Amino acid sequence: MKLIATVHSHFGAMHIKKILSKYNINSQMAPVPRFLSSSCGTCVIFDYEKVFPTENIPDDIEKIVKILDNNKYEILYLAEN
Amino acid sequence: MNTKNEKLSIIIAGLIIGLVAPILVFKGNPVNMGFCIACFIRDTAGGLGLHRAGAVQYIRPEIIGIVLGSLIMALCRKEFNANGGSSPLTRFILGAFVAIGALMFLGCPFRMILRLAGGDLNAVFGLIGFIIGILCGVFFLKKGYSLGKTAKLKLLEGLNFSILQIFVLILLILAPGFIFFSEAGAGPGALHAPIILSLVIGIIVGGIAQRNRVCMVGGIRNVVLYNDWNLLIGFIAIFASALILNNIFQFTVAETLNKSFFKLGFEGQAIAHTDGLWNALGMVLVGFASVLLGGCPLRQLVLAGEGNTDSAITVLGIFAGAAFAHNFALASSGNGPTENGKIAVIAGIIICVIIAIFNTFYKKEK
Repeated sequence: MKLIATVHSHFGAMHIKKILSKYNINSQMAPVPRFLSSSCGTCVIFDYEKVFPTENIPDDIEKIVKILDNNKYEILYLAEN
Repeated sequence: MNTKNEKLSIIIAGLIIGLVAPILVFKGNPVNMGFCIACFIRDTAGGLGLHRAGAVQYIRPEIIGIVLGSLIMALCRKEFNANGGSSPLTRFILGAFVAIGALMFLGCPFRMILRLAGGDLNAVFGLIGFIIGILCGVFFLKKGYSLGKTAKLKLLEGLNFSILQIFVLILLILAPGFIFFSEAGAGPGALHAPIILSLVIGIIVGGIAQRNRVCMVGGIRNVVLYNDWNLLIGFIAIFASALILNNIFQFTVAETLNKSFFKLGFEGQAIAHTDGLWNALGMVLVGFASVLLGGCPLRQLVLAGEGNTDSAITVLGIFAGAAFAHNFALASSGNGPTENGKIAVIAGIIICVIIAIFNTFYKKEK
C-alpha cells in the first residue's frame, strides 16, 4: 500500500526518509498533494505492506495516510499537536 | 494521486490571477503596478501613518481582500487551522528584509511577473536575482534548515489577523482624519481603482491562491527540490494571461486612457529603475528570505488568512520593513537605488545567511 507522511518541515522529511532507508523501505520526498493539505510543505511517499505501527512515531510527523482511489485517503496516524 | 487535475486547476488559477493586474490598471491603479503585495503593504503602512512618504499613502483594499478571500475559502473547505509559534521573531525580521529587498527592486515576486508581462525588461534582472536567492535558500533547506515546529493555537488567535483586516477596511471606508491619503498627483498612492472593485478582486485572488497554493517562491523551489513543475506552471500562466490582456488594452484603450499597458524595453518604465545590479540584488534578498520563510509575500498573506500566525507575523514584518524602507530612505525610486538602500540590502543578505546557518547547523533548543 502507498502511504504518505506529512511532516512539519523539509528537515523533518529528510529525517523520516533516513529512518525509512534504515529499514530498507524505499521512499521519496515530494510536495504535499493538494487533496491532503493546504500546506505547501514536503511529504514522504513510501510503500509499506505490513500493518502500520502507531507507536514510536517520530515527532517530525504530522500525519500518516494510506492513499485510496480518487484522491481519497485513510488516516493511519495523526499527531496530537 | 491525481496530479493532472491539480495541474489544470493551477493553470486556470494562474490565468485568472494574471488578468487582475491589467484590469486594476484600467480601473485606476498605477501603470506597471496593477497588483503588488510589497508595494501595497507599503502604501497601507503609509495610509496608517507608519511612514510619511506622501507619494505612497493609501490603505490598499487588495491586501485586505486577499486575507479575507483566503479565510473564506479555508472556512468553506474546512481548512482553517489556527497554528503558529515557529520562530516568530525570526520570521518578523525575515519579513522586514523581504520588504527592503522588494523596495530596492520596486516590486514583490508577483509584480516582477506583472512587470515582465508589461514589457519591463528591468524585471529580467529581478528574475535572475530572485532565482539566485531561491537557490541560496534551497541550499540550506537541503542541509537541514528549519525554523522549528508549529503548534496548534486557539481559534481566536488564528482569526486575529483577519479581524485586523476588517478593522483596517473600516478605517479606509470611514476615512477619519488620522488616516493618510496621497494627494492627487503626489504619486502612485493617489492612483487606485474603486475600493469595492479592489476589495472584490483581492478576495477572488485570495480565494484562488488558497485553493491552489499559488506561490512565486514555491514554484521554483519545487522544481529544484523535486522536479515538480505544478506551481511554476501557475506562475507561467499568470505571465501569459497578463501579457495577452496588457496587449489587448494597449491596442484598444491605452490611447483613450492615456496609459501604457505594454512597453517593451528598459528605459522609461513606470515606477521602476534601470540599475540591473541592484534590481537583481534586491530580488536575491527577497528570494532567499522567502525560501527561509516558506513562501512569497502573496503566500504569506494567504496563510495568514488560513489561521497561520507565523505568516501573520511575517506580514507584520513586511509592513514594518516597508515603513523603515521609507523612513530611512532605503526604498528606490524611478531615479534608482539609494546608498542607504544598498547598505540595507547587503546587510539583509548577510543576516539571511546568519539566520540560515544558525537554523541549519546550530538548531538544538536550549
